Amino acid sequence: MSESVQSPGAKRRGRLGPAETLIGPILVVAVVVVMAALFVVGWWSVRAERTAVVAARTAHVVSSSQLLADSVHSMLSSGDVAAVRRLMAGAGRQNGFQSCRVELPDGSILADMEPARNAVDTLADTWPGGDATGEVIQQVGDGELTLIYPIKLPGRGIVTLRVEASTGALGQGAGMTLVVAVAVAGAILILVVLLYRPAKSRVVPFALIREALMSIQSGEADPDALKVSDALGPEARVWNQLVGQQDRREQDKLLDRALSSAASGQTGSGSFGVIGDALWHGIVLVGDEMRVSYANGAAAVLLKSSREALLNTAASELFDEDVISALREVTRGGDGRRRTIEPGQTSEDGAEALRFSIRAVRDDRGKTGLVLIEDVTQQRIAEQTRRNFVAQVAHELRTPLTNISLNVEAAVDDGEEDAELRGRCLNVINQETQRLAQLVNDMLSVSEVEAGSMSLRENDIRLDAVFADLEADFKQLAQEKQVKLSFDLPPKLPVIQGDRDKLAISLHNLLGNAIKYSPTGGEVTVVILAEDGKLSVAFKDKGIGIDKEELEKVFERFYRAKDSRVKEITGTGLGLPIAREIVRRHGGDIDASSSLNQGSTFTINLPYKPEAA
Amino acid sequence: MQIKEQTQGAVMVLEPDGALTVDDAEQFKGRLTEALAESSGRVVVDLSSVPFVDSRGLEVLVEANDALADGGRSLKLCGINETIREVLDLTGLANRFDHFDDTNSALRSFH
Repeated sequence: MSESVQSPGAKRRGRLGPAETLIGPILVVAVVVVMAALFVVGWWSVRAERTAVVAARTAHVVSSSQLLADSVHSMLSSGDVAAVRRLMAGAGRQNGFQSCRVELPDGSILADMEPARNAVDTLADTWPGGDATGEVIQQVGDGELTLIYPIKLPGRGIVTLRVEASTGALGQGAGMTLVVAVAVAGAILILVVLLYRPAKSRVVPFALIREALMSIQSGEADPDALKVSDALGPEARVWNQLVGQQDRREQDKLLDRALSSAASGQTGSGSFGVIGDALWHGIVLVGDEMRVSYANGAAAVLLKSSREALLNTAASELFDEDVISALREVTRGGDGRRRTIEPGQTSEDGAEALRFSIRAVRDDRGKTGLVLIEDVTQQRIAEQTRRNFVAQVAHELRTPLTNISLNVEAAVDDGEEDAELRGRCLNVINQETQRLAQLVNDMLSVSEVEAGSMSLRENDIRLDAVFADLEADFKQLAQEKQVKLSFDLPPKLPVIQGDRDKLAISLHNLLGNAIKYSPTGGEVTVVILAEDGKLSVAFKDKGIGIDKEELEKVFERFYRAKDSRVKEITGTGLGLPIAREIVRRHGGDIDASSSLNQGSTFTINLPYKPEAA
Repeated sequence: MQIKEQTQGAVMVLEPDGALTVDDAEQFKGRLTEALAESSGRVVVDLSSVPFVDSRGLEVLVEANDALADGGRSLKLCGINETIREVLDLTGLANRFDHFDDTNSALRSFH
């Protein structure tokens, strides 16, 4: 990690070379300029000081010399040579003169600050020579000042006061100042040289970090390009840490997104999940260790679970042994293998029939078994119903046909001689033909209802005629079964609008059932009421009755009550649904009430518009 | 509210009798939820005896449909009268459901 961090840092440092190398010269120039300025200032101040000192010294020397000259004049005027010699010694020391003396014009020294140099012991009364102009001579040398005062002693002659003094006596101090200045500059230079490296190492990381910040602003996102060399110090390391953390955060974010996307593929909110959930068929992927790795919404519905609960569930908990062994087989074998497990034929009523199609698919994690679950319950029931229907129809058709066949045979064989036999045979043939016709009508009605193509004709229905026909139609059947059939009719029956043939089918079906399910010697009553635009026809029997739970189901197509007694009685399970459908098409309905072994009552309730008969 | 129930093969047909409003809608919701769970979503709602639905009734139908949608199913409605059809159209909910003229057509869609 440190290698990969340092190399881009070095790269970046190389790129920043000019900036880095400029720091040295800039510092040196700065130091030189500062030093030069310091030197100039020092030199200038020393010079100014020196000029001032010289001027002050000169003034001091001049004034004290003048004073001295005045004193010498007065002392010599009175001839006091000794006093002049004391004055010279004192003044010379006191004023710091280099030399100070009074000379006679011949150059002999009358009084000197050094008493040993005194050459003339006594002052003569008069002497010749000397500058009679009386002008003071001032000689200025290098740091030296010489003053010559001619002093005229009236009546005697002229003496000369000669003072030599140094005006540069303080020059040493100024030199010291310069030395100190140079020393300070030197020290600064050394300090700069010493501090250059550490300072450089302090400045470079900040420059690099600044550079990195600028490149972030301009869109650089590669952490390797943003990192600097760790060797540049703690700031660089902290910076690299920050860049690293940011990078990790970005990567974590990406990872999270990828994970959530992958997970959503499994829970159903990703695009694959959305597609899977829109399907009617269940899809379950079984991966390693025979555990569920994906299940769509339909699978959850069909397996009566939830997607979340299905995930990671062992396949053996969800599917039966057939499916599991098929899964094992297809995942062991090559791609493209498939097996289909059809639901058992003996599935109970109401139990779901699921068809499982198993095939091997290959995904990133290896071989996976895909289980496609189809809900074939309704198809199964429909198939079963059709099979039952066909069997029932075959039975229903065969019975009258057999009867017809037998009776035709009997009539042909023996009918010519026996008129009574012939009559009986023809009667049976007639009944069975009617039964066949009824069956065919039922089947047609059912197919009409099924296809939704049942149409009603509107015509006047004379109810009294309808019920008269009904009674006539069933009189014989009731007699055969020894069932007492009675009609409870109101004094006057209205004429209603509707499809007479279709309504007649309804009435036939209901009355036929009432008689069919009545025991021998039973009783069936048809109670008809027509009041206030409402017609009600109740078929009451005292037969086997219908269980409460089954009462609504008897109106389902092909449904036949589970009562074992019902199975002994032939029927298609079509009569009631057809009857109800017809009545409903007329805007009414059929209500059923029953109690087991007590009998049943089926009532047609039909609204009608009363018309003048 | 009376809710007639018929099992047609593997399909449960629920026929609420009366307007689907407030309390009745709640009652119907309870029955519908049960029916959906019992029959793995094979449910037809016959609205031929429902004169109109209010917002709560619509909510019940939409909720049931949404619950079914997770499993790739949708609520099958039949026998819708003009009033309800208009309500569904106006609220933009009509397309959410499967519509059938009568119970038989709805039943056939399960094949």
